[in-house]
Amino acid sequence: MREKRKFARIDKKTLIEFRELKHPIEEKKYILSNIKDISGSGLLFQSEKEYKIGTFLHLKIALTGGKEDNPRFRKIGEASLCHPISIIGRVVRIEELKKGASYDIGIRFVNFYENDAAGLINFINKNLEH
Amino acid sequence: MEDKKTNEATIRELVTFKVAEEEFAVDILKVQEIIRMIEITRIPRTPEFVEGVINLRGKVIPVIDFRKRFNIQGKEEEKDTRIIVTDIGGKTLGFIVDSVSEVLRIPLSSIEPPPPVIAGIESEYINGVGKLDDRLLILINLDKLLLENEKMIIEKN
Repeated sequence: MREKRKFARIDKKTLIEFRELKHPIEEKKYILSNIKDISGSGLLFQSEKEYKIGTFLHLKIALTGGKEDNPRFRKIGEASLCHPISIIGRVVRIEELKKGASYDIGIRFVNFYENDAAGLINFINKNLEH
Repeated sequence: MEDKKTNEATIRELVTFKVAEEEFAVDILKVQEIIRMIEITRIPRTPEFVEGVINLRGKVIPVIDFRKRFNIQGKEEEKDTRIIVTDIGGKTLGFIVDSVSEVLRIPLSSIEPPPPVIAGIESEYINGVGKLDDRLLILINLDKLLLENEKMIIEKN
């Protein structure tokens, strides 16, 4: 609960790539979409496909757009389109926007790579300031 | 130089690890890295021996439990538990072992063909048995293990 309060939600059009994790899994391409909003514990994005609650997704988030973003000088813990943040998330909410065509998918993060967690926090803090 | 060539042909370099009381080995060239336990996300409807997936530096890698895969009984020591991350032809698979012992150079002459079953493991999963003084190393056929898991979540490089 503390985590939730720590990171305010922000609205930002940020690219996300995702794919479903299930067994057995054939090699599938990631699907591209936009994030509607993101916090330190989860995110919301729009999808053409419906995903059931409880589905696991691998998410790659391209966090850019901050004024200080410069691919040549990137500190550890920062991310770019070339080095997206990688998160395993679980679908916790789904809302139908257009029947059979458009859904809002709410994700709770379940498994971060440590440096990526730092990158995400940096991104959120930076975007709150501006 | 010639000596070196002879060595390469007659010596195998292995990473050895323990599960229960048995000692196993895999070809070092197939080992990408050895990591301590990290968070594993369990994916629904997977076979019991599939522990789940790890998120290792942005790569999602399926992890299997060596002990469960081969139904190995015996005491489990958790403090030395490691995940051996293997890479075969660009496909990555991790497996959980009790502990990783060492890197060993072993002459081919001390590797014998596998018996039909050893330590409860069928010979198709074994490349051979290495005999070293009083030690017995079971050489695991990683290709076979990977082939079996082809349909799991495999992340290409």
